[in-house]
Amino acid sequence: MNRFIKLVNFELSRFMKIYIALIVLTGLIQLTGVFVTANSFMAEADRMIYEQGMSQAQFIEQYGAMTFLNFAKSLWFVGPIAICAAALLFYVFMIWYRDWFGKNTFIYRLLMLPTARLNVFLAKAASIMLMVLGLVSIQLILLTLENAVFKWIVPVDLRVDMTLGQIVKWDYLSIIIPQTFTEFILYYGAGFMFVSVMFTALLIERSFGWKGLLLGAGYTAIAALVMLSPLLMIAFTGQYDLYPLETLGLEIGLGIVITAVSVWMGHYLLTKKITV
Amino acid sequence: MGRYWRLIAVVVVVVLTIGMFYIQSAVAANELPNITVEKVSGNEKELEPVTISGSYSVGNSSGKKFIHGVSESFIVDAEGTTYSSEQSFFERIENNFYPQRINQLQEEYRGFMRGKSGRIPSFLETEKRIAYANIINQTVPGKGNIEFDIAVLNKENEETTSFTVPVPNRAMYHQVYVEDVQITDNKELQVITRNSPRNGMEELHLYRFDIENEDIIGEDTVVKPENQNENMNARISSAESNSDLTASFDDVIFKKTIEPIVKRSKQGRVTESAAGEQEYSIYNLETGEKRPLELPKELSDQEILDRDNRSLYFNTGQQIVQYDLESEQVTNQIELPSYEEEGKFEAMTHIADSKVYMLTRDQQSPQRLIVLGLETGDILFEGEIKLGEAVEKGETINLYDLAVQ
Repeated sequence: MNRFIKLVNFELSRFMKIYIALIVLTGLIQLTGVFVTANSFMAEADRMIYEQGMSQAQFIEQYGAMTFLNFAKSLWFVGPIAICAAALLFYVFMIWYRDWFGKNTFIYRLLMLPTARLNVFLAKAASIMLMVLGLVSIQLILLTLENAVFKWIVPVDLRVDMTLGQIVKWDYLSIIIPQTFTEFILYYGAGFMFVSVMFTALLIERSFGWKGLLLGAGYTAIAALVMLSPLLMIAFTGQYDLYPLETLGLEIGLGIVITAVSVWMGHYLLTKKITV
Repeated sequence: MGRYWRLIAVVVVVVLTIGMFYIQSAVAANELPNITVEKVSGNEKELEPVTISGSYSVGNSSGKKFIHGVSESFIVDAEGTTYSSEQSFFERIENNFYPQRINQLQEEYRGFMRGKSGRIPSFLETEKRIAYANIINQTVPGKGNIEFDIAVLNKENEETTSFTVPVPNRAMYHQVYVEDVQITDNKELQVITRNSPRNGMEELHLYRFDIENEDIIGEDTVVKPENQNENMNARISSAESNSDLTASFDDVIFKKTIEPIVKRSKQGRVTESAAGEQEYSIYNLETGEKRPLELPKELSDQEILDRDNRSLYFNTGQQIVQYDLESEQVTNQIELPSYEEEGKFEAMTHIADSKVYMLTRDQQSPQRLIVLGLETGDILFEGEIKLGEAVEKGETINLYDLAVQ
């Protein structure tokens, strides 16, 4: 356990500079975005009210009051989230490949550590999950801050207030921050499954070279097919006998099996097949 | 300890922020405004069987440049307001996947309902039986091997009869949909379908099945749009009970609307339904006899509001008219209450237990729920839909369904 914690801490430290940079970048772009979108709304309001002689009520009637979502739907908000998501997705692969292709073959030292090699696999997966959740948490904190800034710039007569809970219900935000804790566990559980399948595919590639690349892609495809099997069943036979909650149960079961198989295969490859 | 500060920092931020968020959102769910039906007059007991569904939105108003909002669906019934966010994830999956009527059947007859479609018109529920008819193998339209999937559950001995039969002349049809399922006293299952031939316009067909011998025994084209031409468009439909699509009847009523085509567009033909001409016919399921139904002129161009086994109900805007199918006469007319701010009385209307339930549609004026006695025309209850705790700026409610249990 102590070894595992040490390894997680080590993996986090190695990515910390880029990670902090991502957080700062997100904060800067999003906060700038709040200022820009809120101010451009205010400029439009000023122009209409003071130059065109519109009354405030008329302006609201015609243009509508501003909500936080005017900002949240803009690239100012979505852009940094996309960058962070892309960076972490990329790092799912780099967290392994940097050990092989770095200045000195670091994987050699990692695998020589006096600890179960499975710990290396799990520590890398745990670090990815922690970093994802960390960014989600930072986004929640930023949202609260941005909502406050928004309220500070736009006067109460020209805006409609939304609580944090209402904001995150909107569209893709509800995927990153689901409505209920149950869904949170399910979504990020699925995320962990994805990471473990990717790790295993990558280790297959590391173990069998070019042939392994195909095998790894094949393994990913099989995992996807298994998860989608209820859908495929409907598409090909038109007949489907499970109730919605049973389907959910089946999917959770399949997800656990795929994760377990992936972790076990990762362990097997790391101990028996891996070449440095 | 100090060596692990990065790990500790990330874990603490994650647990605190996400933990606080979910604890807080569990508390905040109860802060949504209560929606109530505030009594104006009458007896509040009349509200007990009523369920109103709608959505509550903040800052959501389409067509305006700066507005984006979120909305949340709710139901109001005798127990109060329930917002969708107050349901657990599992409840939402269980309740929102199928229509309410299907959910109800699934709860009661879990085994029988397994693997069956979620379309309400495919089912019939009588005291003794549940019948089901669906068309299968048409996921790829026009493949040509479509079949009837028939199942009948006997409630008394819990026995299920099920079989599949090819649709007669199936190569002719592009698509076939079940419109209604009925059963006659001598155990004949009758399925009314809307067939789209590969060439030509939609027709309504009636197929008869012998349940005991598990076979199809007859077919009848009940409505065909024969007076369709270049300048005329025909729409056909069967009159169903608005309140319960699984109800059983002794006869089926068909309606054909022939409308002049005003304009053709890429999407189809634009017609002016006001100038349309309606033809009604009534088909007795037991005898197979079909005859035209001559409605009084003032009713024939109205939409059928609802029906039961004996009568048709129409809403003329000022009155609810009850038309008796046996005597072919208007047997009852009740006046609708009128309000100054509204022209025509537009409402969602349900007829159940000799009462008329109406929920006004107009968003501008106060939304009302009215219960009228069908026989007397008395207002048994009148109420206004109110959003609790004084309507805040940018909050709106939109009511979209009324159900009476």
